[in-house]
Amino acid sequence: MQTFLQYLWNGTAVGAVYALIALGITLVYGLSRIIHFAVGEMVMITAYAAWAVHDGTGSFALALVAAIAAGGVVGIVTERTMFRFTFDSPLSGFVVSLGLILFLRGLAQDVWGADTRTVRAPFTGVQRVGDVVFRDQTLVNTALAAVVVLGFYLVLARTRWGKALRAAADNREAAALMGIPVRTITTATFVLGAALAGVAGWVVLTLGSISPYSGGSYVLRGFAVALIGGLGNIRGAALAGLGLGIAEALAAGYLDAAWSEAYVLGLVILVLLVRPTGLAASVEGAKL
Amino acid sequence: MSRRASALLQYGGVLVAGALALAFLLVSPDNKDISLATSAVVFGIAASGLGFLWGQVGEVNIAHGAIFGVGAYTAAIAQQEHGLGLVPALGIALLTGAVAAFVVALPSLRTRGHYFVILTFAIGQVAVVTAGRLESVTGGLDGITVLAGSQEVLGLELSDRKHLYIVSVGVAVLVLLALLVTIRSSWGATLRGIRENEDLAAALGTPVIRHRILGFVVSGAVGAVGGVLYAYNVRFIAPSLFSVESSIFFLLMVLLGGRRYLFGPVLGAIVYVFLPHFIFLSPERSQMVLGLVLVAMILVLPNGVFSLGGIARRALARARGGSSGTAGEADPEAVVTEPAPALAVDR
Repeated sequence: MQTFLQYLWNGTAVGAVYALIALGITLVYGLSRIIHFAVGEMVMITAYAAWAVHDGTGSFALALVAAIAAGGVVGIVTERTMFRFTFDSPLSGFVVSLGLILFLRGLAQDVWGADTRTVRAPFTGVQRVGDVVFRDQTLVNTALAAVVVLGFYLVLARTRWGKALRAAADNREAAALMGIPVRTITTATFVLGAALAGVAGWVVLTLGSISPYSGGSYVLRGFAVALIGGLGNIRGAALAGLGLGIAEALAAGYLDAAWSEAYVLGLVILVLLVRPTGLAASVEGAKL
Repeated sequence: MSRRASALLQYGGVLVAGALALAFLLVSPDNKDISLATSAVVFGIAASGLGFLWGQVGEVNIAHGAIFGVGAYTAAIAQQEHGLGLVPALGIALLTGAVAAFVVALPSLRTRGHYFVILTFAIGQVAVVTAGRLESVTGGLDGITVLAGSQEVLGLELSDRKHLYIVSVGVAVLVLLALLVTIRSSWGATLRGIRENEDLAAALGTPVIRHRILGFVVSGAVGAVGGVLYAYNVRFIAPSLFSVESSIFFLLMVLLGGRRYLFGPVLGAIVYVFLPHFIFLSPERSQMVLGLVLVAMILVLPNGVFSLGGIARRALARARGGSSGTAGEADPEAVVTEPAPALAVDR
């Protein structure tokens, strides 16, 4: 039982990161219908930004700010110079994101080399409840992810701005006719999505190590979560993130851990085959 | 221009291109250059498979790199385990590549659009992960070597770089001719009809799904043939060579030349292979450049370099004040680079 609870917690902690990444994917998709595949590389590059700042200043707080800022910069630059030309053709936007994958991987290797970079986590303590071990770092990370996801949810559900965003996601033309600045909102979504990847990048860094290829596994899981939750559905993304994290932890614990990547892939394929538009949404991108 | 004349020009163009490729050996390149040229030919073959799928069928496949890998592993396993050489491997790869593409295409029965693209990615990654774990069959993450040994094809020794290049060019010519026949056939027209208006095609009684899956199968068979030659060229393969990055590079090659032009993917492969050597950048920086090239191509010139000819001719016709020129009055040279009527139904 203790082992099971431990797996459950481990999965929750990992799932919180997935939810964070998936939230960015879902937001961007909801507004632009673009499958932004470079999200894993954004996590990776912001993690490097955080690493560089931490390496220079020794501060993890500044590193978090740097990661979010780096994400924001990548988000606004790519939206202004690339993605905004592809809103009529989401497939082009997808191809643009593939180009970004190459660019960001090359950039990371060029600047920081192909070696793995490691850090000592800022919070090294451990809490015990019974035999279940809670690392302080994962507690902090999970709390951070929970606050961010919840904050996004509340802003979207309760504020005027959130309402405008949902309207733009639902029907761009109609929203624009109602005087909603759809273009600005779309740009903002790209920046926010990238900033979310920045938060995730910081979390990934605090878990220990990063390499130029760290992004690969996150893009898959981010999309798995966004798909299972239903692209464009925030609540779905949060729940699916936790679900995938826990499922993965249990599978790695009780089955052969070497195949964990394949379990995730199998899950994605299964979900897409059984419910081609995701588990949570009945209509593509219906809820945001 | 009559249909027969355009056909002659296109088939002739493939043969001329093959001859030009062989003429490259006349400048007596060293082994490294020949190896690079072989890479370009090999990637050109595989990219032509993806170009067929994207240009004619209108589908994108992010598992194309994995299918290319299926071909490479077919060659390696056939040679290591069963002592089968290049020619049998090419035959088997036609089959394994077709089956792999069939598996990738099958979910399109239920899932379309974005979801299907992600599915192709997931299936490709499953193949890569599996290749890394099935050590007994694939050699696992450590990879597997392919030895040409004393193999000969038509008197050409495969261990000789020059001879391997000639064989590759020969296969490329055969593949391009086969693709040209396919594209010009009535089936090719059916595929383009589905691409342009799936609902209309279905309403006219065309079995859309069957044709689309068959399109995938053809594309996969071609991709795997490229993979076989790739394995013989690099002599060592590992699963990581066939992950999503390789698929992105194939998309780049197709986009560079133009997905609706027979020579488009080949030109893209040549640029992809030789560009990094001409701009004198580190591998990391060339990867950055290639990423930006991919972005620039899709934004600025989504139909590839070859579409420049048509764009220029139309601009010229406008400047002359006449009605836009028809394909019929195109000069002979342009027909080779630009799709003749049968190929150009898509503009």
